[in-house]
Amino acid sequence: MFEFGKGKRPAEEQDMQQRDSTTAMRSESPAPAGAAATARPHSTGQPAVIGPSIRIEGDLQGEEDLVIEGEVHGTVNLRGNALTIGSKGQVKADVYAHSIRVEGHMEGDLYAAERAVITKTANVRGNITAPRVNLEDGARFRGSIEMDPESLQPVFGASKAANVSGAGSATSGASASSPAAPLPGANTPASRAAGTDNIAGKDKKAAN
Amino acid sequence: MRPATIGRDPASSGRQDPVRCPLFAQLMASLESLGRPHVIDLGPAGHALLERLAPMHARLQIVDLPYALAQWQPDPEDVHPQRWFVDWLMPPGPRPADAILAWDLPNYLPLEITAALMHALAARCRKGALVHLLATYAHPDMPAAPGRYSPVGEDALRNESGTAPRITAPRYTSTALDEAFVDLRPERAVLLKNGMQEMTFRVA
Repeated sequence: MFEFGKGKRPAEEQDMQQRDSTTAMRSESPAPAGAAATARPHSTGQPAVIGPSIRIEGDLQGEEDLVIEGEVHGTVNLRGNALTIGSKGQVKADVYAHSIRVEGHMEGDLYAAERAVITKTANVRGNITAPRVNLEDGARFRGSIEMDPESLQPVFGASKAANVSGAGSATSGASASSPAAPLPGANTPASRAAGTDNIAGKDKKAAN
Repeated sequence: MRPATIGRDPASSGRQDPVRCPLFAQLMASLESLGRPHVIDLGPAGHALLERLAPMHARLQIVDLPYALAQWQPDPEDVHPQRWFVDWLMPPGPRPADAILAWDLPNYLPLEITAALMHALAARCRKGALVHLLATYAHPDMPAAPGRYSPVGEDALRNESGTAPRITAPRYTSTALDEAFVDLRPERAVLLKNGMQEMTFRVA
């Protein structure tokens, strides 16, 4: 089942209590109460779908696969599952999922434990952190793509990061033992901070 | 002011042949030796570059400056036209960049705007970072819009853009670019088979 506006860290709970009360699911067309997000149990094998007429503001959590064809503002947290932002989907949120596929409009940071796929119909502004990223030619993307598995450790924990470490090299077609001289002043992996800059939060210019 | 259209490119009826770029090959080899490099690409998003950098566990920042160029509406009274492009750049990342890829774009911007961009980008780089630049040189004209270049193999780039009208090329010399880029020092320049000049600069 999906939950909206729950599961906050303790430090955020007080703040979120107030925000929870304003968390809204508004349908542009008449719909029965509770039908806004069709959450299905794992056993069906079908992903839950947020339809095109649905708008959600707040934090969305769940433990099953989800397709967003509507509008979501806030945070999407499906750390163990697959998320698809469909061609009609419009998401302005930070997104955490096992795998993420974007076919629609996305503004915010994406964290995928396993893979992120940006299709040619997608329009994405934000940062992607994932060990494997597939960016189809024709996709409109502005932001950063972090392919260092270590960057996922603070997000998904050490065990998940261990699973994905080396994943990027699985597609390696290049040698790391190049005879070329290293660039001067090279920073080492240990010296690199594992954060990402939030474009959506800092860059206020309407870009795309 | 943008140059006027002067005709169509007779040779650009489809995807072009890859062009060997020795300085690009050197840059990639250097980045591989670094491990986890941070690269800023001023061009649009493309699968081939991402695939090339993935084994390095790189951080790739895609600016998509051609889209900014397409959105740009020059105002003759604007005394700071470079602001549009500098503002287009994203906030600095968590670590300084090791390389900047500026393929074809300097041809399409006034030199003072390219210089302002390079100044802003140099501030996002570590000292010694490399700028890899492609600029039209041998031919008097060029496609009306920047090309979309993709790495092919270890040492080649291919312009994936299709048919395009031709416009007059500015044909900047490496000396002119060197004088404009106050934060960079020139390293090497090579004339490619397609008539473009491949250049590398290093952040001072």
